[in-house]
Amino acid sequence: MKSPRAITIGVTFIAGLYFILDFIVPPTLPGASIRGVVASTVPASFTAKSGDFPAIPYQLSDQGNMRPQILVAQRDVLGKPKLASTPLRQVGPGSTATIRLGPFEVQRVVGGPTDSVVGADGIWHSLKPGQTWVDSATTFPVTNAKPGMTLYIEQPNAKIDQVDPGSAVLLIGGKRINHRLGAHTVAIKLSRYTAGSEVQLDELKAGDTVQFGPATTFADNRDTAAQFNLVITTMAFGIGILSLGMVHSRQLIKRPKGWYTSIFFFAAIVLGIAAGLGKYEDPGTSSRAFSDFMVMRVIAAVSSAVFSLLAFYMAAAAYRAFRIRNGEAALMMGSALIVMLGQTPFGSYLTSWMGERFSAFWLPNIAAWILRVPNTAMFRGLIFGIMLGAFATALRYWLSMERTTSGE
Amino acid sequence: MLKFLARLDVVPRRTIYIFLLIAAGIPFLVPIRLPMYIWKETRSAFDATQVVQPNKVVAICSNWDPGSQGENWPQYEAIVAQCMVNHTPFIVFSVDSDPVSPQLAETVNEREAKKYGCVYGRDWVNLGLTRGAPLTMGAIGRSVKSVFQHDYRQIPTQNYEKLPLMRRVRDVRDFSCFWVVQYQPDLNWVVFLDPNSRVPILFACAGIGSSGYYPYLSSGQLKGMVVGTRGAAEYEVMLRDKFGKRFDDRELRGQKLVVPLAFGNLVIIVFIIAGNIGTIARRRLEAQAKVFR
Repeated sequence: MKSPRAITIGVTFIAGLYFILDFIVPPTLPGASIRGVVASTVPASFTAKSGDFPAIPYQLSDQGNMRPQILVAQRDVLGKPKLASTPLRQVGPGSTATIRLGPFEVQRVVGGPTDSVVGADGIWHSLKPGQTWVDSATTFPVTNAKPGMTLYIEQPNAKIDQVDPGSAVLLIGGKRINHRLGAHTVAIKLSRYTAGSEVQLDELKAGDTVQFGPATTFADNRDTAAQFNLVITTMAFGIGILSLGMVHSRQLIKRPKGWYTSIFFFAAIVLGIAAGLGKYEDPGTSSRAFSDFMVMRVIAAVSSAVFSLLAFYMAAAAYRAFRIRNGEAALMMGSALIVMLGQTPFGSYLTSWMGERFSAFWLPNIAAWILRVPNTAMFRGLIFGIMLGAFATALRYWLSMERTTSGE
Repeated sequence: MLKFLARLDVVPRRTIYIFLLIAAGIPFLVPIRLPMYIWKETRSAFDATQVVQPNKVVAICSNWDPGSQGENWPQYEAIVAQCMVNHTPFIVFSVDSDPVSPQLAETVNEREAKKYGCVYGRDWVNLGLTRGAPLTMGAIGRSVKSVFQHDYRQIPTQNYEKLPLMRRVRDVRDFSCFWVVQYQPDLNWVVFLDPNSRVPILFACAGIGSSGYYPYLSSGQLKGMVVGTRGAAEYEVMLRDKFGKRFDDRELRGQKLVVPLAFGNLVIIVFIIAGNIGTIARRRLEAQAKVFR
């Protein structure tokens, strides 16, 4: 049984290390980065070649919603092939990618059926050799562009030919420096109060503070990490159902006291699956009769009934708990009564007779003050304490010192 | 007299239940409307949703479920009504919630859409449910369509013929504001959705857990908050003041549910005060008994 535990410890450590490094490693390589105020920029550009057709030049700037997207073939979490948008710095000369422009709405077709179209924005779009119109609904090539359609222009399976990462004129220490970007340089727009974010050169304006440097790759893999997290969470649900199924199966076999409640578990699982699998009654609508019945008439009613019982328990608990035993208890009860009454329409009804001049003494305003000032101060202290505890616990989980969670 | 008052110290649980049932039940039988006082955080949330920037959408994370529908349903209804009466397009999705959350949200969306003539795909899109917070929160901020490749009706989100609204929804920069409607909204949204804090984040939460969000309101990380059924009722009042007859509140629940809630709270307050009178009376009786002994 040692090897599963070692695997758990190893995976936990690597996953934790990734997220820690993602937070602490700067987005660009320290020492090889340059920081300054933008005076002007020249956007990145590249050419892409398909077969024997001449190479098509593209510039990475937003020209009427026609910024080129570089799409590289990848596989999703289920292993299905998909095209994922990739920054230019991650594709070098010689890489194969699909270049997509758009989308735009067709206003009218000019010339031949596949030659040129005028977009709804009035911009003239025409195909170059190697490019094709692609339907936005299915991303399949279309032979006839028709008015009203939403289209992309695509150059499929093109070979990236020449790459110019662009340049920027920066003001550093009163000097103007023309900085040419490297093939893998990332541009981080900095701001005084918030974290920096990656931008393209054409998104920068004169006066923006920017940092250029070779990318450290953690941020690029965040989406993969998010998918990994999604898979693990879904697996946990599956394991949960399996575990519950085993427990209830054992109940049915051994038949201890109250064994028949396990039948309800299996019935609920079957009904839940049936409701989830039910086909959409009318394609393109949200109507699913059996699922709607299960959710709105069964689950909603049962959950609401269970939850509404809380109100009665809370009323009885409040009656017993709020007793003036000492000064602190009296203070707590007083503030609880003010907040409770202030949160209901009766609060303003009882005190609004004092008029606008004394509105600070209206019950809702006193309740709001209690929540915004003493409550906020108390919660901030509480959050600091909780976070310190959470940090210590997280460290124990990460290093698998919490033995109950690592399979022991 | 003192003996009678001392009996208030130990009122049987069932008596409290009966009084609470009567107080909360009467407003359902006799329609009553109470005047509403608008709290500052509700007004801020309303104003943030009202500010519509061109080509931007309101994003709503609808994570409420049948258990919390007493408070979250009227809140969600009021927010959707505001978007629809204002013709502000919105997207709605659920993250790590009960699997029935998207269905509950869609029920409200479709009913309100009939009132205001809104069309699915053009005025709103329901993107369904996903899991994996908080990393998914960051991923939604970076690219909505990479997280939600299909909507709740299984239409691809890249299908701009059927979902023209999705053409303008790329990342968090396309949100004019971001709502989380949940019993206890996850504060990770504040950290992970938009690290640059450009989008106003608004919470619609249950009354009982609201006190924990006030530090984030005062720091400005939350731009507004709708608290419980009371907040929903205030929202409806603001909608009526703003839009007059254009706003149709016939089926909305906020102002209807706030009345039994207020009466229920009043009963609890009365019992707390009565219990304390009973305790004082009992102590006096005990002190008198000691003196006579």
